[in-house]
Amino acid sequence: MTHSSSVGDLELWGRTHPFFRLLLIIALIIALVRLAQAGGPKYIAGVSYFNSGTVGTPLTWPGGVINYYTDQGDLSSFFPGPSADALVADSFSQWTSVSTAAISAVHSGQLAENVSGANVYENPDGSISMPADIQPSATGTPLGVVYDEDGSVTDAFLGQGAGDESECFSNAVFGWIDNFATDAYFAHALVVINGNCAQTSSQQNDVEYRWCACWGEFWDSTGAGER
Amino acid sequence: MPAPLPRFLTACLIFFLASMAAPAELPRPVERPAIPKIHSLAHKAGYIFSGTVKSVERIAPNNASSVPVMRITFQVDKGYVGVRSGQQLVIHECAGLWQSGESYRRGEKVLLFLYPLSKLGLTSPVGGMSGRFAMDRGGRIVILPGQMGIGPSHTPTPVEEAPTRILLRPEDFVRALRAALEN
Repeated sequence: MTHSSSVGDLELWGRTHPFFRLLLIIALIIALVRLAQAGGPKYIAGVSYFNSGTVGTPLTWPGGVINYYTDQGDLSSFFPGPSADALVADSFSQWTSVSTAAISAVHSGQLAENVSGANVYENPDGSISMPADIQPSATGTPLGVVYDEDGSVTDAFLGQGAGDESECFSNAVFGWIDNFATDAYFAHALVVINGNCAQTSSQQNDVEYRWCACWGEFWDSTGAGER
Repeated sequence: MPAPLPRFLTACLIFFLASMAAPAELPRPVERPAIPKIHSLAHKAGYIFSGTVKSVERIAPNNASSVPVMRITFQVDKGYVGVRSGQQLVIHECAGLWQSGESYRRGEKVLLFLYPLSKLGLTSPVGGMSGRFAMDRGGRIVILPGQMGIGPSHTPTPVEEAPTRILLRPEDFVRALRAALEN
């Protein structure tokens, strides 16, 4: 029997046997659904920076734990330091409480200062300085959470006016991962919460939503925090 | 042959017919702004222009206490606010923003509303992705679903159509921008 006649036979079977046709469709669905992917890791170890044995490995937080350190200052008059810490913990739980999450967040302490527009500045040579424990090299404080009480840190990083209350839709929470360990782990990240967007209790949900969206960008649309 | 109507009666008839016609006049359709947030975008931006990305460069920190930034050079095709057409514009963005998706590639054509420079000399699009639009080869502005509510002024798009993208002609954009800046 030739190949073309086999295909012809298959078509004939499909036309004349509805049950066989249905079976064929189901088999195709089962076979193809395995190939479907909802998403993939955003960060993958490459060949030029990471250890050779890690190439292709999705980047994650060491041990599946994010040790975060919060600002010594207040987020706003409505969210003084401890309330802001509670807000951050609650925001984290939106991710970590997902049943399939393979990640946890631990409030490991406070940053050494109140981060503000006063200690984020430009040097005479044009370089930008900020407190040592929120810099990319600060792997001892793997995640720094800045409470930007008056929006001046947001202004400084994103542009003049970015920290205004009117910009909360896009700039209530922002951040980035800025250091990667060669053994395919995240080494440092920074998140800034704009205090101008946390003036009332009614804004808490908005801030938490922005937090979740920000962290979604970081890891989990990526799969890095899920089993 | 009947006698012509007296002038007074003719005037009354015209007035009566005109008064009947007035309420039947159709209301003028409400014009949607070409870009719904354009007023806010325009008033917060320090730079508004369309242009091509000429180069992208990461400036590494020169010491342990400074942070990396990205230097992006644009060839400005149309400068609307803060920059002239034909000029090269160099901006600096926080390198970290690139990790969160705010990045450019060489040759890319964009329309940008950028915040005025911060005290650190940094900027970024106003409202994140709200202030950044791609442009097609014909110079039209590509408005994606996340930026919508947007459409050419005189052709409102029914909501149920849910277009995947809208192309806005530069002249429509200029008209909308001018109106936004005047108000």
